[in-house]
Amino acid sequence: MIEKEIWDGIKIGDYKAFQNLYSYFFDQLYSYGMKICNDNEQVEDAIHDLFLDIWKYHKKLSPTTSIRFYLYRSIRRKIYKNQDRNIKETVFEKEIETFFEQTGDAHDLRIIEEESKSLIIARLQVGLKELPSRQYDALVLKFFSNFSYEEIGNMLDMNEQSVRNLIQRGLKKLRALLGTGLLIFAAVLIFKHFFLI
Amino acid sequence: MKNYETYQPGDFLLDDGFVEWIKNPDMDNEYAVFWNNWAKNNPQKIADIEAAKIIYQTITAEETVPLEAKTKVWGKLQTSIISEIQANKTKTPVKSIRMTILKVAASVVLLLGLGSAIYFGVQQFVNDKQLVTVENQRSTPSTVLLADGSSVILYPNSFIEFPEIFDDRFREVHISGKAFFEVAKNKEKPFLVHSAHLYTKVLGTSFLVEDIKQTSTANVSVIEGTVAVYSDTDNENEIKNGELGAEIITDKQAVYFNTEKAVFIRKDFNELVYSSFNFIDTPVLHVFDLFEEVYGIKIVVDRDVLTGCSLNASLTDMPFQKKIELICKAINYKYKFENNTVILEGSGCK
Repeated sequence: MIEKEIWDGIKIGDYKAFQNLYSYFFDQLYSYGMKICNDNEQVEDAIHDLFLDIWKYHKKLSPTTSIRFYLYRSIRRKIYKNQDRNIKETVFEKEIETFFEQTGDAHDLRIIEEESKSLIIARLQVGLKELPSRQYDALVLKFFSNFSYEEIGNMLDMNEQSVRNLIQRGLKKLRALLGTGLLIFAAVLIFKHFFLI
Repeated sequence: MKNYETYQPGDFLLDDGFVEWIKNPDMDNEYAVFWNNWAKNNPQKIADIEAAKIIYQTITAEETVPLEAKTKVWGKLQTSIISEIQANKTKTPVKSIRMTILKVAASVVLLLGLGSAIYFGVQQFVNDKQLVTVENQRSTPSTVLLADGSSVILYPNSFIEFPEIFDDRFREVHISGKAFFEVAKNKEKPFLVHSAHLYTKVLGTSFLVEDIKQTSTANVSVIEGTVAVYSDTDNENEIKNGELGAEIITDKQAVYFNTEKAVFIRKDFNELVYSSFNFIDTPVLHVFDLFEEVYGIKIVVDRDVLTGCSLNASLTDMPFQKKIELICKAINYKYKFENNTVILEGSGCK
């Protein structure tokens, strides 16, 4: 796909180009949307609103170097506009503290023995969603959507170094969340590695 | 070389080379070579590496996109775009609604969008050839329903001429100006549009013809189906007998005919907004509004009982009559065509 051609086409009202844009980006925008809000209807509405805006204001579209970046940034805004993110964020920050404290204690041996990779992943999934929202956002944009630190900084309105710090903090928390459960898991791997080969 | 031995848990994923490696652990690139080797030499870090892998997998886990989501959202989007266009149109009062009918054969055709019942049922000026001519002098489109079940949206300053009864082999019409055809399917009897510079031949499809004598480009655009386009310098009999090669155009394509150089130029067709009649959870009343707008036909119905009723249907590529018939089947209504209106009767969608 030649991005510039599509974008220019839309600017002059080429409906076919518009359709191509939709067709090409729908799946990835949908799946990114699901990552950050986990509600089909909200994601569908956001995509609908985004593309409606694009067609509605196609004459006024500004030139863009990356359609993908533009679309992700827009869909993100649409979704967050529909949620009262700020309120949620402060609640999350508190929840996350208690969550981490609890998981530390909850690790009695009985559970650890039954811990499998899928359980670890399940726990991580919960932990991931409970991260402070900006940390979570940055992690998803970096690893799931493969944006550069610069682009992420642009989307989140912060400089590159702050994005790196944000991602580092997020990863650290997730790693801590795995606690001893993972160490057991790793020990099994090491055991296999040294004794079964 | 970075000092990976002192890496804190979580640091690994900040290294793009490390990420490349866990993305494609079996690839034979520099990252894989380095990290495979490093992992082997640093068994004390295996837990951190495993943790990084699992964290990466969790963050990048694919979200399932429901199969129908794409078409569903697209359908809604189409509907929104159309209503957006309607809302933006300045509501200019309809001036003099006048449609000149030169010859009318009322027994076989219904003429819609005429604004007055006077023209209906008039059976004068039918000439020897039994040709009916309708000219749209309004500022908005109007629709002509043909005896074979096809419908033609006639745009302002355009006219169409067609026989009272189509002959056995062809459904042949003449037009000048701009007209959108939704042709009833009949493989036995091709539909032939003769315009100022072109012949367009189809079996059943929807397409737009724009061609007047004074113009330097004539244009045929296809929504769905396939049509064959010939220049009018081609021999008419050979066209009818299918002996000539033609410009074949299919779904969402258009050809422009340069009348001076007599050459065809192909393009993508981008005027699709009005031509897509795919409705998903669209309020029925909204669909009727759209029809009134696009076809220039009045739809008379008790709107109150239909509030809250919605429609899921793909009504692209079929004549107007067929669209009404299918909707009525869906909501269990009766319909009749009368003058410039369609009258619908029923008791809501419950």
